[in-house]
Amino acid sequence: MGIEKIEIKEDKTIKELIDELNLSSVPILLELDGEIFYPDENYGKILKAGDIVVVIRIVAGG
Amino acid sequence: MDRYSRQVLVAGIGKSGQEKLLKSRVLVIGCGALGTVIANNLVRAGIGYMRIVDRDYVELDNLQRQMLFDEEDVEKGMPKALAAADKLRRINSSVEIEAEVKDVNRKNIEELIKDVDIVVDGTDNLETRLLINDACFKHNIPWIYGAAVSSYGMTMNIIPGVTACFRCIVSSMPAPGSIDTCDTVGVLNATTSLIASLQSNEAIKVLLGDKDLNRELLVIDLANNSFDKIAVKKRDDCPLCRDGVFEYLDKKGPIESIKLCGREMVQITPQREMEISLEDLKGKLERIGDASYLGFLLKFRVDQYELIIYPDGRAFVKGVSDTEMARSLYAKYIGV
Repeated sequence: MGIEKIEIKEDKTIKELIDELNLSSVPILLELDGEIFYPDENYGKILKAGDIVVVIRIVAGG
Repeated sequence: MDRYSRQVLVAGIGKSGQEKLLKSRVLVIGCGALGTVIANNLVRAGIGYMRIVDRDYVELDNLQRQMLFDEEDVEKGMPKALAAADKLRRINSSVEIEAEVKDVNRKNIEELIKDVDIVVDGTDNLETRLLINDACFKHNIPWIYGAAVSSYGMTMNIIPGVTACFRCIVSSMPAPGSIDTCDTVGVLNATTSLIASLQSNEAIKVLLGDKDLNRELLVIDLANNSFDKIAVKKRDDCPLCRDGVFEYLDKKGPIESIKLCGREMVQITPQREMEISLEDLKGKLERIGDASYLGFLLKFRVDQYELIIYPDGRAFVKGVSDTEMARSLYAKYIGV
C-alpha cells in the first residue's frame, strides 16, 4: 500500500516488473526519473539495474 | 453574512465570493467517512444547496470516522443520507438540503447531477466513480475524486476536457479482491478527514472560479507524513477523453446482481472474464471474519452475512434479499 520505491536489481521490462509484483490487475501509476506514466502504455520499456521506480497505487476506499 | 465573517476575510473569497457560494449547488455522492466531512465543511462554508445520496444505513463501526453520526443513529438504524441531512440542517438552516436514500447507478445518475455545479466524491468503490466520471464528462460538470485506506489517501480535481479523467487513471476495472478496502486493511479517521477536507476546499475553489486549482493527483501517507503531487497526463487511448465513449453510463455495469427467488440470497456476477486468487483473498478476509478456502470456492462469514466467492468473481451473498445491500457488501469485502 502507499507509494512504494523499488530499486531495479537487473534489467527488465515494465511488464516483467508488473508481473513480478503481481500488479497486473491493480490500477497504478509509475514514476521513473521524474516522469509519470501508465504502465500498460509502456510495457516494453526497459528498466535498467539501479533504476528507482516509484509505484503509486490508486485506492477506492472512502 | 455574519456567520461567514472569518471566511469572508480570507484572500480570494471576500463578500463577492461568499455571495457566489451562497448560490452554488453541490452533489455529494456517498455519505461515509469522506462524504460526512465534505458535507459538514461545505454546509458550514455556506453553499446554497446540497444533495446527498447514499444507499447505506448507520452502523456502530462507522462512528470512528463518519463525523455526522452518533449512537442514536445506530440504534434507530437510520439511513446515512437522512441522518446526515438532519444534522446538517441543525448546523446551517439556511442551506437547502435534499437527502436521497438510493444506490447511484447508470439509470439515475444523470437526473442526480443535472442541476448541480459540482459533484464531490464520497463513494467507496471504483465502479461508481467511473460512472460519475462518465456522467460528469457528458454534462461538463467538474467532480472531485477522493479515496482513502489505512493511512494512505489521494484526491484529484477532474475537470472535463481540461485535466486527465478518472478513466485515464483507471483504464479497466481491477479483478475483485485485488485492491485494498477500508474493510480489509482498515482506515484512520485522520486520513479520511484530511482527504475530505482537501476535497471540500478544492470544491470551494472550483465554485469560486479560482484559477489556482490543483490539477495533479495529490497523494498523502500519514504513516510517514508524505505529501506528493503527481502530474497525471491524459491517456492517449482513453475511450472517454479521446472518443467520447460513455462506457459505464451507456452499458451494463461491470457487476450485475440478481435476487434468488424465495431465498435470502443475491447472486453477484461480474460482466467480464476475471480470475481471483482466492487464497490471497482469504488472507485479507480472515482478519475480519471467518474465511475458509475450499479449493474451488471461498466461504466468508461476517456479521449475519455469508459470501460464497468463486475464482471467476461470481459470488452468492447470503442473508440479504436487497440487491443494493448485496452489491454494497461485495464492494466492501471483495473490493470493486
